[in-house]
Amino acid sequence: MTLVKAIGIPVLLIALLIGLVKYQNRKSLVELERIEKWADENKFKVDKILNKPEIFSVEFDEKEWNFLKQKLSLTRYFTPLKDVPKFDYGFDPEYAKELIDYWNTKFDWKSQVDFLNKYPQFRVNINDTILHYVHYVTNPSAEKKVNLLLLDGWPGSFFGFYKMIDFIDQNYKDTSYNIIVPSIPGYGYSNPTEKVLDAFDTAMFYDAIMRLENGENTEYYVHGEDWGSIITTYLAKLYPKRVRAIHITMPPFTSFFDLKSLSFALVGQFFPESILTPDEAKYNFRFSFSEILTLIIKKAGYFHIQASKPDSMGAGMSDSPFGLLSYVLEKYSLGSFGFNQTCGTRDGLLEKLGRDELLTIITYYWMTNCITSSMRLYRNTFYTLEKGWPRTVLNNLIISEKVPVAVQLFRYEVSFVPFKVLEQKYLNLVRYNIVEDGGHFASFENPQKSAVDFIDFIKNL
Amino acid sequence: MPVLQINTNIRKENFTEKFNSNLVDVFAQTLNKPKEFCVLHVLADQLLTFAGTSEPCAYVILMSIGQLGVEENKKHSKAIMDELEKIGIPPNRMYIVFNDSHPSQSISSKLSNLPEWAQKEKVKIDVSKTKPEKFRVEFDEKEWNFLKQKLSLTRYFTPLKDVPKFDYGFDPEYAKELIDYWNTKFDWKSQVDFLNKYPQFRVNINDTILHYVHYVTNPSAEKKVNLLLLDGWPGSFFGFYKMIDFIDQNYKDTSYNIIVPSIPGYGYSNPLNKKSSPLEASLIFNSLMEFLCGENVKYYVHGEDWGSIIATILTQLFPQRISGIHITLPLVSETGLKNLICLLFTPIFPSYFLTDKEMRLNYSVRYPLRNKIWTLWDEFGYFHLQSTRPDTIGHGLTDSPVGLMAFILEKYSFWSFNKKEQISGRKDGGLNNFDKNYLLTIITMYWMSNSITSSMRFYANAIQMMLNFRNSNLDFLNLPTPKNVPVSVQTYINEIFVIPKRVIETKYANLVRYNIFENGGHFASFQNPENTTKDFIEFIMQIELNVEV
Repeated sequence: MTLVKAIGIPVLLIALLIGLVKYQNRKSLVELERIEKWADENKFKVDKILNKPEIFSVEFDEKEWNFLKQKLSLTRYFTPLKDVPKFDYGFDPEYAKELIDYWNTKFDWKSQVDFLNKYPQFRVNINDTILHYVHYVTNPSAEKKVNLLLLDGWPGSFFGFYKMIDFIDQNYKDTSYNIIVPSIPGYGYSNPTEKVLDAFDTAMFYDAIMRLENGENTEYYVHGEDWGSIITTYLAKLYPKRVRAIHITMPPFTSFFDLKSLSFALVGQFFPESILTPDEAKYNFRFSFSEILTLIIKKAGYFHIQASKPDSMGAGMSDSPFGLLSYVLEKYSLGSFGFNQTCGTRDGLLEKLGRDELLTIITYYWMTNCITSSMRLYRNTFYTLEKGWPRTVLNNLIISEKVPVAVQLFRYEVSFVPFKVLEQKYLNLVRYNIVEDGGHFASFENPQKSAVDFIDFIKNL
Repeated sequence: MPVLQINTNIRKENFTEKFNSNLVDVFAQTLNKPKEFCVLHVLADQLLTFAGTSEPCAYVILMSIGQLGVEENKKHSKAIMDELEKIGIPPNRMYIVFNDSHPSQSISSKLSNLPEWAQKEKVKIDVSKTKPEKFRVEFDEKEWNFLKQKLSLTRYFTPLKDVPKFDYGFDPEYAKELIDYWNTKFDWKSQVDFLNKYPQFRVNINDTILHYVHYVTNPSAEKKVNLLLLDGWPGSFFGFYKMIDFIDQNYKDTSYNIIVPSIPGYGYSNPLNKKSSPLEASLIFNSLMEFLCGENVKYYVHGEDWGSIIATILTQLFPQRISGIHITLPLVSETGLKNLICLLFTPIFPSYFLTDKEMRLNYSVRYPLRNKIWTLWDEFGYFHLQSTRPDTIGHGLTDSPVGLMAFILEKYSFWSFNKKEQISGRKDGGLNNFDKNYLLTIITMYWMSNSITSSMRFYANAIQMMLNFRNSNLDFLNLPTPKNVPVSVQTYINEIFVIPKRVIETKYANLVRYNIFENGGHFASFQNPENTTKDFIEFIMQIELNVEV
């Protein structure tokens, strides 16, 4: 009797689970159809006459630059803790001082502005929102034409993709790539906003830009990092007719808080290697409840405060370049290399990423006075469920077979979702690569690897 | 389940029934356990050597639930060794291993370990070498001008138009109003005079500079009582000045010896470059009291915010010193199914879980569970960040006066008033209910002492302390307070977490008083000095009268 129970009950449960999952999938597909229809009816209407893109270039504002330097000269510091490793309690004040001094005395913002203007940029007003984007066409005379949309997140920048664009331009001469790199509303030259806009709105704006520039029936491939990864998955679900394929580095964690994924997390708690591929196991990735909890507690402090009180944090960072620098560069340090590698180092390993490159990002956030606006995206998106359908369901829906998905996972990425779980959510997961060395800021740190993986993926389709 | 196992190389014949029976009596008696449960296990004729020779020796294991400890074990050892010596095993050729069945160690014995441990860990002050220096807050003109220079260069960001003010945090337009006032009308010099109203001192204890206010009311009164007033983050020592005023003016029959220390790393207790947690604070505060008032001092503690937690720890570590504690934010043990059930079901069956007083204030209806969870999310971002990466946010607050002000005053707003009724959508977030000068004095004090980062590190250190002690027998955060120390809890309705009396009782074993008031919040004595002081002094009188009778 007990043997029957011991085998029968688990079998029953598993059958129930499979049935539930299949039912969920079918429901998902029905829901996706509804959403596709809704998205088509509600897309932003754009045309080149009403929404005229204006050519844009970054200005070197001497007055603002002097004001920044004045502030830097008045920076006040704080004593480090002597009995803990550097970077253990946050951004090390001694290294910060080094950077501030460099920023104030040796950093050449004017040259960096020239660098920012390397690729042509535009600004357009859609639905009362100013959107900035880079628009560059490689090899215009090539016969084959492909549209690319490159999306990044927080605290990223549009010019973080420049090296990737360089690489594509120089190495893939047979195709003309029509590349658009927008800035999220509220970020950088997409002006700090006064309205509540979330990631969902952003997806709608991005599709509008693509239709504006390339025609209503345009088709495009999307590459997304950080918020860009989330927005990319939204695009795949909202506009499967236009989004030909997507390439992401950070599968959004939130779409994995469902029955299926949590069951994997449960199994992963006790048999960690059973839910991993051999490669994933090799790099010691883990997916389990305790892993998820540790991630939330140890790494998500910034997320928590940005998703609740961005304005209270923003006051200091809008006013103090030092505050802005430590807060943002800490992310580049932890995100690229992880806590274990950076703890105890003098510089949080930031010298590897290039001082000028990093200070350009910070100066860009400073000059556009957008840090608070950029942090609000977290709270806006977190409270987004109040706006109802389709936001309430979008995160947990699968991506149908219509849209092929490629995931390129960098070793020190902030969060991890196993291949076996991704397969459940992305019905057409055609490509999954782990990059041995690299972190969260994928194309910023490893432009070549990102470009190659993305273009290869497209070519193989 | 007391078990005595003896492994020895002497012969079995030595263990006669009479001897065994006697041995069991002895070990039952020393363990204070009933003989009926005692087990004696003898493994004689063993191949056992000690120091390389096989002369008579033994290896003894004594297993017990509780009743073990450094002092107790000495007693047990002597008793057992004396007995075994009678059959020829010399004490110096014997090891005794004490096995405390850890998970089931009784709570009372765990609790009883704490004061002993505290005496060992105590911060010992060399009275001959330690001399407190008089301290006055200085008006530093250069620093004041530097601050004003920074204020003049303040850069703001654009507020959101389509959400109520203060929903996303401190409103930038109100921030600008305060900054302009701070820069042009605020009189820091007069505020410094106010800060110096009560005598202050600084003393160097163990390389830590400790600042404290020391004031004696009605020195000629016969009855003398010692008071220790503790606040937290983002509080200040002068937040208690109105309380001291009130005591001074209204309770003339007693001489209150009042000490208000600043937590190491806060304010004029110098920004630290060492780690400091609530545990270190408790140890150093008690040492300060013993230093100032004598080794056998007895004192009452009033604690708010971290002060409540430090006060709670003090009762566990130094129960013989604490006459009573009066706290606003009880520390509730996280482990405890009973507590969890209570917190979950209170909103649904309030009359079962709440007292009449709590029911009258409609506490559970006003604060349903869903609200509590959202509050936890909405209000604890700062806690999450300060517990993990304090230095990272600290830099912006060290360098930017508006950053410091917005971050701190947001707490004075959200923790003092009801969000829906008094904060959301209001131009000032409710802060006009406070005296602007008083608020800016707090911020200026944090600025001038350059202590914000140091104060935030306390959170990270506290979490580490919790995790470290959780794994040892010194898990005082999860243990109750001792039965012989009376506790009084006074909460205001807008406190961050109002905890039902039932839950508080599981931690505070001798809860003699529980009051919950309207029209107030987290900063009890800052917002309601009279009411808070009255409750505190009434509590003290209650205890003193009982003691006298």
